[in-house]
Parts: sequence; C-alpha cells; structure tokens
Amino acid sequence: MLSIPAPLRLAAVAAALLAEPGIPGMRAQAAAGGGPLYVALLHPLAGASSSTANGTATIQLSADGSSASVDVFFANLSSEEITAHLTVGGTGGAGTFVFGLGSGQVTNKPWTFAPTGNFATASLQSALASGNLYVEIDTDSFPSGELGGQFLLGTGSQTFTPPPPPPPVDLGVVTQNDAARFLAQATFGPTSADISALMAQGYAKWLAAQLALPETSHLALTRADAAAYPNTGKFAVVQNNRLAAWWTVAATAPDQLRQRVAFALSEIFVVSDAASSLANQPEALANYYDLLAHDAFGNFRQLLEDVTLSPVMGNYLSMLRNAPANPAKGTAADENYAREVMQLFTIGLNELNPDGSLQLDAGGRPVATYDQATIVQTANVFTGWAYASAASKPSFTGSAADWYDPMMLYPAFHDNTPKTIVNGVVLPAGQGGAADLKEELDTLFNHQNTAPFFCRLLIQRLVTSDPSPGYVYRVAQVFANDGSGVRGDLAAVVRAILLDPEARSPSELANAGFGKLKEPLLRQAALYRAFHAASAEGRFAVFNTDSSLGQTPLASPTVFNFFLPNYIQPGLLASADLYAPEFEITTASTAISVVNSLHSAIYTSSSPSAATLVLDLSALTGQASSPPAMVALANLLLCGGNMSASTQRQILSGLAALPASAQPLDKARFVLELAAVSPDGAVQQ
Amino acid sequence: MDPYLLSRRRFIGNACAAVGATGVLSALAQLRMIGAAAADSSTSTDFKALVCLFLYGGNDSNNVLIPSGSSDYAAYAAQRTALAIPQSQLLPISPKATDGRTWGLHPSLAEVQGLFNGGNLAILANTGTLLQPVTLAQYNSGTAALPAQLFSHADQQVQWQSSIPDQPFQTGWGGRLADLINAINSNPKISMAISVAGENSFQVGNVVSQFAVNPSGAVTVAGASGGSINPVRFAAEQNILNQQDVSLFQAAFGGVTSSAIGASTTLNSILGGAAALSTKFPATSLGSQLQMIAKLISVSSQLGLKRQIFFASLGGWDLHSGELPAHATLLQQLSQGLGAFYNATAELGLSQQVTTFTASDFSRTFNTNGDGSDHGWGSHHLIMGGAVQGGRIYGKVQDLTIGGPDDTGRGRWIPSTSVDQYAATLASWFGVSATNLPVVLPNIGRFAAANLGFMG
Repeated sequence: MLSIPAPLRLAAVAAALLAEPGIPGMRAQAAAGGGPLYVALLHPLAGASSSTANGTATIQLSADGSSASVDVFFANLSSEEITAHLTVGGTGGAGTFVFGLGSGQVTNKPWTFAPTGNFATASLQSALASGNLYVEIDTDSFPSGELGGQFLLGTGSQTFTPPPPPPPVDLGVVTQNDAARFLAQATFGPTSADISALMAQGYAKWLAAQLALPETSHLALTRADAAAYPNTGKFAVVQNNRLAAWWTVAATAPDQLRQRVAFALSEIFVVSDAASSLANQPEALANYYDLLAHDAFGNFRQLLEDVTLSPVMGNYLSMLRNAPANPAKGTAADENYAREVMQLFTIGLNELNPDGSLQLDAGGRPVATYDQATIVQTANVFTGWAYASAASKPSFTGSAADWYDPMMLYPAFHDNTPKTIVNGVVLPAGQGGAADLKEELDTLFNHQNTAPFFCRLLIQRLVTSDPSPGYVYRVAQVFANDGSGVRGDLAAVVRAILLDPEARSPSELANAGFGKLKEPLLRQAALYRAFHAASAEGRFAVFNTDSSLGQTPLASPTVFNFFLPNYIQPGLLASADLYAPEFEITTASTAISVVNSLHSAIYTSSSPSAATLVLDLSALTGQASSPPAMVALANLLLCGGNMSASTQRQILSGLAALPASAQPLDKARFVLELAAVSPDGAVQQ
Repeated sequence: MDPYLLSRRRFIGNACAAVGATGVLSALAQLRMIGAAAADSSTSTDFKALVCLFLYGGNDSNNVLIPSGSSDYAAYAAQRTALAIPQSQLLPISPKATDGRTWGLHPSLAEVQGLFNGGNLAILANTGTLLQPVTLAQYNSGTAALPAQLFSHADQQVQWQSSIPDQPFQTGWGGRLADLINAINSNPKISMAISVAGENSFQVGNVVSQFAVNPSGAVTVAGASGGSINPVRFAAEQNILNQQDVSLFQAAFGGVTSSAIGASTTLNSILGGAAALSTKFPATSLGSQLQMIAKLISVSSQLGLKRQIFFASLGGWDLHSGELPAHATLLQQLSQGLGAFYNATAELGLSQQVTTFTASDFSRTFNTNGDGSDHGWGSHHLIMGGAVQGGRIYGKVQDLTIGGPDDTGRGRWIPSTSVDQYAATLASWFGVSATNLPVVLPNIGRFAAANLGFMG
C-alpha cells in the first residue's frame, strides 16, 4: 500500500523556528517504493485569467531523494501548447527555468537532480521542499505562461483509513479567552458584551440562539441607504449603498454567525461587481448575498440550486441564455458554469478521500474527477435557462432582466440529447431541462468529494488555513449525515466546524501551523465591532476598499476569489507544508495600506462631518492608569487573549516611555494600534 | 542604432549556438536571459524612462489641434458653435510635413507650442481603441468588430491601458512591457513600474508589480514620526513585527510587513539624498507628480533601475458642461507641467532618454450639447522628449465633418490609428524587438504599421 501521511503537526513553536529550512523532521516518511509525493494543483496564471485550463502535476521523489519522477496532467488549454517546464522562484517570467518537460501530457518523466544554471543540486531539492518549485505551461495565446502552480507536499493514499478521533475537549466551561477565540471564528469579531453572553450561555445555547435569529437583509439596508443618501448620478442605487449596508451588517447585525458564514460563502460561490454585467446591479448583488445568508443554515443541495439558478450567478458565469450547440452555426453550449460548479463549488479537480486527502491511483498519482468530455456534456445540461418572465410568450433572449426571481427554463432552448456527466452518470435523452438539472445537482451533491471538498473550504474561511485530515473528516461526516440521516445540513456543518476539538482545544495554540491570517476586511470589521464604531448620522460610509484593504466585498477580480484556497507563500510557511490563502493579497502595498487604514480608524476623532466613523475608546481610557489592564483588554478583543509575552512587553515598555503629558486617549490609541497591527492581531488562532 | 539592441542580437546568436534549440525555453525565459545578458554587457550605463500621462475623463482633443486655414476654420467654427476657439487666439505651429491643411493649438498650450516647433514634441492624430481597422461602412452596417462599451469611461480607460480591448482585463501594456524588460534592472531596490497617481491598470504586470509613490515620496506608515508619542509607537511596532517567538503565520506576516516598511524607508532615504533640481514646476497636482517623477529619475542609479515606467494622471476632463473655461485651465496645467518636466530632464542631461506620452478615455463629440460635449472615440495625443522626432503630426487627421467619412455620429471619430500602434512605437523605442512586440501587444499584427515613426 502506498500511503503518504499528513505532515506531522508541530508540537512546539520553537521547533519550527529553530529547524533548518525544509524542517526535515516534518517531512513525510518515504512511502513504499519511493520518497514523498509533491503535488501542484494547476490554475490559470495571473496573465491568463481568461483561461479555463486546469490540471495537476506531481513530483514523486525517489527513496534517497536524488531523483524524481514528474507527471503533469492538464486539460482545456486555450491554444496550442508550446512547452511545459519547471522553474524556481515563480511563474510567468518571475522564475528561473530549471527543467524542460516538453509538450503534451507528462508521464513518469525522470528528473535526476544535478547542478542546473546557478542552482546546485541541494538548492533544487530545497526549492522543492520550500514551496519554491513551480510548473508552468506556455501556450501560443499565453507564451509567458497560461497554467501553473507550486509544489507542496501532498497528502494522499490509495486506500483510506479513518483518522483516529482526537482527545476530547471539555466544551462545558467557556473561559474569557475561549469566548474571544470562538467569536473571532464565528462572528465579525468579539465584543465585550458578546464574550460575557457566550460565557454565560455556553456554546450550545449561543449557537442555538444565533441559528434562530431573523436574517438581516443586505437588500433592505442597501435600499434604505440609497433612500437616505440619494445619488445624483444616473443610477438611483449604487455599489456604495451596498457597501455601506455590508459594513453596517458586519459591525452591528445581531445575526453575526449567519452573516459571517454568508461572507465565507461569498468567497466560495463568487460573484463580483467587477464584471461589467453586474457593475450597475448593486441591488441584485445584495439580493444574492441575502440568498447566501438565507441558505447558510439550510441544506447544501438547496444552496447549490439557488446559486445555480440565481440570475446574478447566471450573468456572472454565463449560464443565463446558454443555448444548445448549433452545428449549422458552429456554436457549442457555454462551458463556463459547467466547469466552475464542479471545480470550485462542489467536487474539485481530483478524487478525494473522505478526509480531503488525495486518492491516489496504482501508480501513486492523483485521479482527475472529470475530463473535458464531461465538461462538454455537462455544459449541455445547463442550457435553456434565462430570466424569469410572466409574459404569455416569454423570450429566451429577449425577456427583460428579472434580477430577483430564479432563472426559468425555456424548454425550446434546452439540449435534449443524452448526456454522460461526472461519475459516469447518464442523463437520458428527452427528459427535459428541469429533470436534467435536478439529476446533475443531485449527482454533484452526492459525489464522494463534495463533503470533504466543501467542508475544507468552509473550515479555511472560519477557523484555520490547514485543517488536519481528521478535522476535515469529522466535519465531512456531519455533512454526510447530521445525525438524523440528513445529508448537507449546513447548520450542523457549521456547528461541527466551530465545536470540533481542533477549533476549540487550547492545545492547538501550541501548534505553530494552526490558524489563519485574517483577511483585511475582517481585521477592520473586528476593530469596528470591538470598539463600537459609529458616525453621528449612523451610516457606515465605507465604500470601495481596494486601495486601502486590497479587497472589497463582492468585488473579487475573478471567480477564483481574492485569494486561492491553495495559495502557497514561499519560505517559512511553504517549508512547513502550509497553505496560506490570505497571504496572496498581502503585498508590499497592502502591508502598509492596511496598517494605515487601521491607524486611521483608531486615530479619527469626532469631527464636523456627520459621516465620520469614530471608535468609542472609553473602555480603554477608563483603564489608562493601569497599563496591564489596557493591554489585557486589547489582547482579549483583537488577539483572542493570545497575545505573545514579547508583544505585551513591547507595548508595556512603550507605554512607560511615553511622555508624562500623554493623555488617557493617547495611551488607549497607543495600545490599540499596536495590538491591531501586531502579528498577534493579524493572525487568528 | 541603440547599442542595447545590438547586444540583444549578438546574444541571441550565442544563445542558439549554446542551447542548440530555442524551443526548450519559453519565450519569456529566453527574454529574461537576454535582458540579464544585456544588463551585464558594455551598455550598462544606458537609461530610459517612459512616462504615461493619463487624462481621465476624456480630453476634447478637437480643441487641442484646430484647423487654422480660413475655409477649414470656418467649417470647424460652424460645427463646434459655442465650443469654437476664436481663430485669432490659435497658437500657430509649423509641422515639417503637411496634408495640405494648416493647424493651430489651443491658446493655453504655449509650452506645447514651443516644444513642437523646437522638434521635441509630436502630435499623433485620431488614435483610439480598436480591435482591427474599421471603416464607416462596416460601422454603419453593424459588421465591424468593435471594442466593448465604446464611449464608457471605465471600460475605455481600461482598454487604453491594457491595449487588449477584446479581452477581460488582465494586464496593462506598461506592465507587460515591464515584465519583458525588467531583467535589465539587475538588482533593483524597488519596482521599475512606479505610479505617482495611485493604482492603475496600465502598470499591472504578471511579474512586475506597480509601486505607488505619493508626489511627496514613498507611501509610509501613517503616524510613524512627529510629536513625542509616534516615534515610540513606531519603534515598538517594528520590534513587534520582528519578534521571533510566534507562530509560523505570525512570523511570515511580520516578515512581509517589515520588508514592505523597509522598501518604503529605503526609497525615502534615497530620495532625501537627491540633488535639488533648479527647474521650477507649477504648483499643480500634475506639477507635483511630474516633479516627483523627475526626482525618481535622478536617483535611478541608486535605485538600481536602468529602465523605469511611470504613471501620472490629471482628471476633470469629462466636460459635459461649462467646457470652455474648465478645458482652458486643464490644458494650461498640462502644458505648463509638460514644459517644466521637459526642462527638468534637460537639466538632468536625460532629455534624450525620457519620453512622455498622453492617453485619455476618448475624445469628445465635435458638436456641442449646449456648453459642453459628450463622449467620443478617436483623439489626438502628445509625445514629448528629446528622442521624439518632433515638429510633426503623425497618423491621419480625420475629415472634420459631422456626417463625413470618419464620423460615427456627432463627430465621434473612427480612429485611424489604434492604441496598439501607438504603444508599439513607444515599446520599440524602449527596447522591444519586432519579434517580441506581440508579447506586449498581442493584437499588433492586426494593424498595418507596428511603428508609426515618431520615435525615429
């Protein structure tokens, strides 16, 4: 049996930092017949975002690590392939060529490590171990790279053994720090009041209360904002109204758990106002967000159907007015939604074990979930849908845009030929568009990958970038059966994610690879919540934050979200075999602009403008005579009570060095800014 | 001949001999090797900078270059009505070649007039976004392949900056140019693509990322200095970011943030050591931006940059009403800014090595809506620098007749030259060979000329 165990999880922080690059102690042990398997999931490169290509590459090291066997599988390149090659340091010209793979699919290509260009043998091996080795495929249309990816140690096996259960965690007692940590995962950020309530209620009652709360509507708040602040331009409602609503919800809505999950879903089932068809549809986008929030505690099957038939998604991924192939005109059905619903929303590119690790074939390679032929057939499934219309003779291409009702079927525009979809399921000829859609979505919903694939994505958004296979497995088991025989119960999935021992155990804090970088929207929202940001007029006038925070809600540049779930940050994190999605938008520009945005929020005083958002720092200024108490409060609210001893020392010694003239407000801001910009505040554990 | 191009050819010859088959490497990998070789060669003292000056909102270039011959002027005045500039106010220019018509410039463009007549500024006529050459017959019959969302600000700004109007935005042509050339900057301290006007599409590359600089210097951590509290907090912040006993995510985050702050500090310290220029810049937003660009050029060797691409902008051109006085003010800011910037490059001894060009969403309708104009298409542009073959009008100035052979309606002119050709001419001067032009400008093959000649 070939089995690549998951990377050993670090027992102590120091071990990782003292170890040499590559951290040999963490490497998976050699599998039968070879060394570790490195896997690169391939995606269109930055310069080829119109590409719909995908693929997987693997490097199987020999037992002694002196040579390797390279495989590259790819599909759906835009144009003729020029060549594939391995590079160090990046793709698209940022990397240095080290090994040519020729053109065509690559199978078992031997690669013996030897000095190449400026790279010694050891540097090549170290590049592979530290996330610095890339594969790149160049094509006629994208000669500087269409498809590529980075290698990271893979976890996978040919036969699956369920991970052992973790040590149980006592969920009966909720300390202050426990509560702050939990609320950072389950809401847009803890407040003192929420911490007290959670400590008093316990997790189960708090969750039950949140699940029962009525939904706050982004659409209603968007319209109310537009009514209160009329726009002088061409459109009565603009994206700024939607964004003011988003910030109002994040900072103040009572149904925090639902809204936090909805935000997570908005980064999985991505639509964006960057698409020109949605740029002037803020109300439709708000309504789509409401759809996600509504279904957040419903059933995944319903969520999948609602997303699929949403006219917003229909516009974004062009299922709207998708007509069948017309041989006379030489047209084919649009493949866009067929591809993304599988690749991004449900099953992903490779067959998975129930714990989310890769299922490997007899040769030790990943197994693709579908091929291009499946996509072509699946594209035919999604034909015939367009705007809902009550007209007596509705027109497939001409009906006026109904941005709110689900798209409706125009039977004459559905492809009624038989279709073979994923897993070899055959949809018989002539059963009609509704039956085809139902069977397609049922098949995806019940696919063996969907539970571990989707659960891992949701865990990444809420708790940690690199859940252990056991964590994914336990949550996926709840997805498969909520305890009463129901598959896809999302309320149960959310509960399982938040109450899992890996999410709750304080011992995870000693695991150097646990947690996630908070994305900038969450850092700013947490600050607003913790210190009750408010403006005199009551509005949250925060609009496009691309230049300050590097992201704006529902404004991702592509369907791949602001960052990829498998983004690899070369260096420390890659060497420890950790994915780090949020680092993809942590650039030389945003690293400073986010600090400045937090600084600006903290240092804004009330001003003549009724729109100015001001924090209420009275909880800190009231403690100004006790520096440790101030630090403790900032630590609790922004760092989950987990601020390192050295950060605390730095803040306290800084406070002691302030001039005697420093006022309580000066001290409060001093403490708060340092906590907010510190790595302790930026990383959720 | 540019010595850089010479060494490039020599290198390719060697590379083919050494590698045996060029097909082994991807196009860009080859180019990077070539760039690196060029950087190591005897041409290491050369320097070039390209400055994109974007006029956001759509400059009414119908009032930049104005027919001055009596019958042509009369036709102009009759069609422009309230927007016509009085004939007596036109600043005369003497192009070295002519299509038979005579021209004057807007009275606010005194510096531009001097630069044109002195041979250091060229005008490129009727240029705009195109998928391929378009005739009026094709346009009217609906058979022309046209850029999406003509006449829309956001779309046309992006298309001008990407020069790929038939694709969703991915990269800008300045970014692709930087990707190709960047290897010549062997050890850069900051990006070769610097914006003094915030984020833009023009400089988005696959590899090279744009570095935003304020007209006063690098973007710095707010509240890092001044007073008695800020320095204490900033010192503590740096210590906290660099601490070691933290999780891997925290350590990685602290590292990225620290190095970003470091780059910003380095740039400001180098800028602080820059010799003051005696050239006076106008006290306008554009003047400050161009002054910072001149300063960044003056310290290019300390920054380790032999090629720089800059982005500056001036907004406010969307003059649907109140056009005449507002347009005069904007053109004066443009002209004074260009004049000062040219003088600064001359003071630095680099006027031959710095080329500045204008871009804008579109021109505007030839007829008026009362006291303003609406969104148009093809527009005239200015290219300035010692290397420019100035004193000439390039491209083809359209037939200025509403309802005439170049008009799609109201004087929204069909461009006779594409953005691709404009960009390709500049990219060629910057060092891109004819073979590699499609890497920067994928659609260039659709147009007859890849070099319009204004860079010699």
